[in-house]
Amino acid sequence: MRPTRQRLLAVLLAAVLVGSLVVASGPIALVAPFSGDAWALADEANPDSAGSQLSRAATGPTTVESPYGEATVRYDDRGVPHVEAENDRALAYAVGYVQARDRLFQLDLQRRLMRGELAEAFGPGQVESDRFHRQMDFAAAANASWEAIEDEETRAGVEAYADGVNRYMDDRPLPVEFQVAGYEPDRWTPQDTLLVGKLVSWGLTGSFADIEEATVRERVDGSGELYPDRLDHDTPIVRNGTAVTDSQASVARPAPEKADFGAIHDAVAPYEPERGIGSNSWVVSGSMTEDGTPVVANDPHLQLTVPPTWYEMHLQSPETSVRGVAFPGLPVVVIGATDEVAWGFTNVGADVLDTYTYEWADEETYRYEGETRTVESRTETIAVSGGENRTVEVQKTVHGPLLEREGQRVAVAWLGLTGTREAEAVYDLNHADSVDDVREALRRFDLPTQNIVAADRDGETLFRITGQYPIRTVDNETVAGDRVFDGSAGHGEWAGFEPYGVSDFDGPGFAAFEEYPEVRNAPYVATANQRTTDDPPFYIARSTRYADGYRGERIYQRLDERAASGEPMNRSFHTDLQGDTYSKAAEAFLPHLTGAREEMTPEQRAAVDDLEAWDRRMDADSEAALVFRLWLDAYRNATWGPQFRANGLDESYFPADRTLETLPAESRWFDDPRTRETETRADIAARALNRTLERIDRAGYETYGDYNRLDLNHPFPLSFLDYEERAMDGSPDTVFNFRSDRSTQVGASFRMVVDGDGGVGSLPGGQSGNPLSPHYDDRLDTWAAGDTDPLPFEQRGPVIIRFEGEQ
Amino acid sequence: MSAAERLRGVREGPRAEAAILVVFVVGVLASVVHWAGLILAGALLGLVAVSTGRAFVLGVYFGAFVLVAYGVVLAWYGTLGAVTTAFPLSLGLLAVSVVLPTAAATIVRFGTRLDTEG
Repeated sequence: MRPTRQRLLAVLLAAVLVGSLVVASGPIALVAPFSGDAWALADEANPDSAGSQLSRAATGPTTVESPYGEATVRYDDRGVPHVEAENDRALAYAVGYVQARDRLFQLDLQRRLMRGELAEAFGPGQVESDRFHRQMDFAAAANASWEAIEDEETRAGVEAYADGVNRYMDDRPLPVEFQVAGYEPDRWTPQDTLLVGKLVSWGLTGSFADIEEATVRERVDGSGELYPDRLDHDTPIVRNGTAVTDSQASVARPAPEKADFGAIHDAVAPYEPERGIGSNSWVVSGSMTEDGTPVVANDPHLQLTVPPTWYEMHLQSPETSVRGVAFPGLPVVVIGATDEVAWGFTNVGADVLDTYTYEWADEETYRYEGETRTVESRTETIAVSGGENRTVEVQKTVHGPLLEREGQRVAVAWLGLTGTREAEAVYDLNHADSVDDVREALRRFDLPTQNIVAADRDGETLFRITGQYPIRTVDNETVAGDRVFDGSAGHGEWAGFEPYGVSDFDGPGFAAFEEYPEVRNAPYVATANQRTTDDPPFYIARSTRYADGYRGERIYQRLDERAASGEPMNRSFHTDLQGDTYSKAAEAFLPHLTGAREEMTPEQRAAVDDLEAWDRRMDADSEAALVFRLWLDAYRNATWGPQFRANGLDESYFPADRTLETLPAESRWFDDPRTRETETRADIAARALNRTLERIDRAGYETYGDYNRLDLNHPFPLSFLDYEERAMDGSPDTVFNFRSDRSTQVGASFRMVVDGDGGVGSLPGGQSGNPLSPHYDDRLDTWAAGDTDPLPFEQRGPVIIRFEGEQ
Repeated sequence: MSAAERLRGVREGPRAEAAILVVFVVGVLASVVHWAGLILAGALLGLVAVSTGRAFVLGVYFGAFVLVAYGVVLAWYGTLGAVTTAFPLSLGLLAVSVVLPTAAATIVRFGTRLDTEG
């Protein structure tokens, strides 16, 4: 080739190269060696590395100016930050900085979800989520909560926290998720912190069970009997020996009306808390322990996420000394212990969401107590990455946001849609010196509705429920909230409730604080989301919102046996109980199978023989646990499926397992209307076993662990961000809780035992959201095995960041 | 002395290997600042390489050199394992490190063939 022609060709190739570089400059800038954005945080990911140690030795820790005063951050060998500051504001500022350092993408994702801004970053698939969250207007509710906070220290702490988050964003490169997604987060605001609180509360109490049940009643004849006021078990949280009765005395309970709200329920169901979200906790008096100090144990069963739902931290200032876990986005410990008092939470399952229908004068006006009112309405634009922007109508009535799907319209009153003061309450918990301080703090713990257990070093213990409990009236008679109310008639309103405003929780619209169920200084109290008490002083919830009670029964059984044995309830007893895989559900349901032998083939009988010999433990290496777990699924489906699915109701509408367990053997619900025979419980149990054995064959399962697998994926679709998959013990109804059959799996999102020697805990994953950090998933093995690490009760690890007061 | 003669002097003279070494060092330093340093290094290697085939090989060597240098830095900060397993980003890191300098070196050498070369 002639040189001139070769040069021309080279110029052409160079042009192609340059063009390619322009097109691919984003990905190249992401992954390039040294300067790649994806590796930008590699140098700070591992504080224990030789490079980091030498760097600190040479130049000292990273220094950051703080407008609030001095603070230091140590990271211990599990990546837990120990933050020490000269005052609480400097503390909150440092917490904001380190949470952003470790979890900034998670912070932003939570905020985008609740503000309805996911599609702007992640595309058209998020439009419906954004539509729902904007229509509920959670952002306005967070603004209302900001207005409701009167305590100056709390406000100052939240503001300092937001400043700390923003300082990190100003100082440091963004985490890899932002780089890959190609967007930058907005500034963090105090309202964003309160929005995280709304997210948590919604995830625990945002249930549309009223319209769900009305729909089932409408579509399935006689289904009202499947939703009793109380599930048939004898182990409420507060055990007082009262027999199960048909109604609660304190409220009128006419049967809820039938109505088909299927279209609305199908639309909102993806954003409801998944059924079965729950937790375990117990408090044990010092009289039951060796050293005379009470014990608090807690393992909240929330969605298992990457990175974890919780962020562990240890905070110290002249006013504060607390350790435990926070939701990322909050400057305070939510579950944990001060030097003097420990506390933990489980969900009550209270009914704090009501729905209202109206007589409509026209599309925009509805009748309300003899007048006509116009729907408040505004149009918002949902920005969509990679797609056309969409609009959404945000509408509100006197009761709250108006949801409309396929011509059905309901207004929603949810406790969290008003100004709530839980930020103040949790701030006070972080400064509590006694159980009495805890109780006092709970006066402003408006939401979520939780069972709290607490104990202090003086030996005082406490159980009570938190939150506000609406009192509904219809024609001046107090009624339960388990129905859709006539909004035009003003039925079922919560007096003093101001959606998106400041409510009067001390008025007649809410139960009085002093009436709440409470137990002081009992030998022990255990909570596992079962009903609170047989005789609540006011309406809390119907059976559908409580857990089946299997976990509660098992915990009380173990506590009772230990107490009767006279052996002290030491730390190992509590951690062992948190890891208990014995299934009370298996104990209750297996007679359904063994009683069906006559209907079975020899192969099925052999399987039943194995189940009878089984120890009822849902262990990963158990073959019988596999058969039972899949059989229960099949049994549930074979019983309810023919009548529910035929009416367009999937398994999310099925009644509770406790209801299935207690159906009489000849109940009509066992009869499959598609066959000419009249099936009984034995027929359905045998049929379900047949399907189970076929399924196991088809899937090639050998043990429970082949089915029951931990599979935690980061919301961002990059496989290296996911946690390593593994076989798991546990089931939805065991104390060692794990639910594999969810799009987002559920289990113990944190485990904690606090006793006289400090405490232990475990986290499903790691502290850091930085995938280059050794603490990204270093605690997963310990957690999955049911083991624990020490909780930080003293400052540990080298100083990594030093905050210096501005001159 | 013409530019072509100077270039030939660098490519074929006694300091050819030293020139390559200098380019390696300068290239790594430039890559630390910006990924365009990989292109710059490749282009310089193309200028000093004795042939197009040699330029290609030097580009690959430089990519490997950058990867080793970066690997040492990551190991120093205790994140080599995490970066290596960050698939597919780590694959991108590998590809960018090798392809950019190799392509640049090859194209530049191809386009700077001297008239006196056969």
